[in-house]
Amino acid sequence: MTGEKHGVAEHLEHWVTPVLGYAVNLDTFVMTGIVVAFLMVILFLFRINMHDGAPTGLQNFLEVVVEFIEDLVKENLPVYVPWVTPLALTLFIFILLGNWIGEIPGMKSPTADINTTVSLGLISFTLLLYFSLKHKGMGYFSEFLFHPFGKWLIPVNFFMKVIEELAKPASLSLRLFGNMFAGHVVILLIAAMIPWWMNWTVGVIWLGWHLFIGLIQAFVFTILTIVYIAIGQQKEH
Amino acid sequence: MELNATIFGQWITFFFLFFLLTKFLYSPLSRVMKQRTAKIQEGLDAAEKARIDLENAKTFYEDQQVKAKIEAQEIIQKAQDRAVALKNEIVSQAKEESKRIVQKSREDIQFEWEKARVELRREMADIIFLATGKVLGAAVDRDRHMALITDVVEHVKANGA
Repeated sequence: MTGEKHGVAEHLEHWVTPVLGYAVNLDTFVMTGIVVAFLMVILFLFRINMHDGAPTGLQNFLEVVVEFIEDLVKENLPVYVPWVTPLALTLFIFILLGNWIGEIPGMKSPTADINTTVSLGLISFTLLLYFSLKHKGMGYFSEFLFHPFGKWLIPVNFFMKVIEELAKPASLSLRLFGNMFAGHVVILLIAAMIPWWMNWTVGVIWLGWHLFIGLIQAFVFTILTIVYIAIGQQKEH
Repeated sequence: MELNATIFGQWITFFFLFFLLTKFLYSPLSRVMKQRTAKIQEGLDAAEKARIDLENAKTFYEDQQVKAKIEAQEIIQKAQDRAVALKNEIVSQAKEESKRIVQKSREDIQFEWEKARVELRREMADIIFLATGKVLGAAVDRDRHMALITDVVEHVKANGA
């Protein structure tokens, strides 16, 4: 039993390697690279078959995805910004494929690494800051001082606003990481606890469930990023 | 499970992917979708125009039909009026003609009557000559006794003929 637990823990650990003097998780990079390579193949196949007639097959699927994300952006942003759509699309596809790649035996989800989710969370946070400063200017900083309790409780306001703003990327990152990491822990524990010849039954059920969770998490991350941008664009608090 | 330089690597990967997806997926796909939307819109506009044209043609056809009916009615009415006028004219002419014929017939009859009277008178005179000749036993000179005979004939005519 101890040996099995040790095996599970070992499987969850990252291959940390120094690159230019900085530690990086090599397995995360390899998995991310596979996702990027897969996407490049998909893009190549899409581009050689692309036409402006009635869409079929891959083009049809990609159009559905792009339209879905574009509708989300257009419906939620008070001021439509064209480059937000491909950004949200990249977030959605990157997180979705990052989540799903971990379901292939021998692969690991790059989104089950806190570094990936924190980097994505920080991108979302940067967008929030950019749009808040662009649309509110100095008014954004006044929110830190005078909201929600007015000028008599500035320290409390500042503390609460800082927590509120930091909670956004933190919740985004930890939610995605927690879901993906927990999914892998559960599948490893199931594999360790039940007899090997029963693994496939539970594995198939869990696989279906975890594919669904991966889709939901990609959607949640994307829609929340769009919502944060929308909050940044709102003039008045 | 600790934070390290992987974060920066993932940023680079993310923005590389953002570039790839924007350049090779989103932009061309948006262009294609806009072109298709424009094509569909063109088709819809053409269909709408065709529908309006059809509607106009139908209205024009119905108007023409109504006009044709009205014109046909007018033509029929005119023809009827003309026929009535013609009939009246013919009837009037026929009446005039019949009057003229009757008048002429009367004149002819009168003429024949007068002619018959003259003939009768002449024949009566001849008979009287013969009879008188027979009675008197001598010939009566027509030219010489004409005045006398004429007086007798007039007298007979006045008293009983």
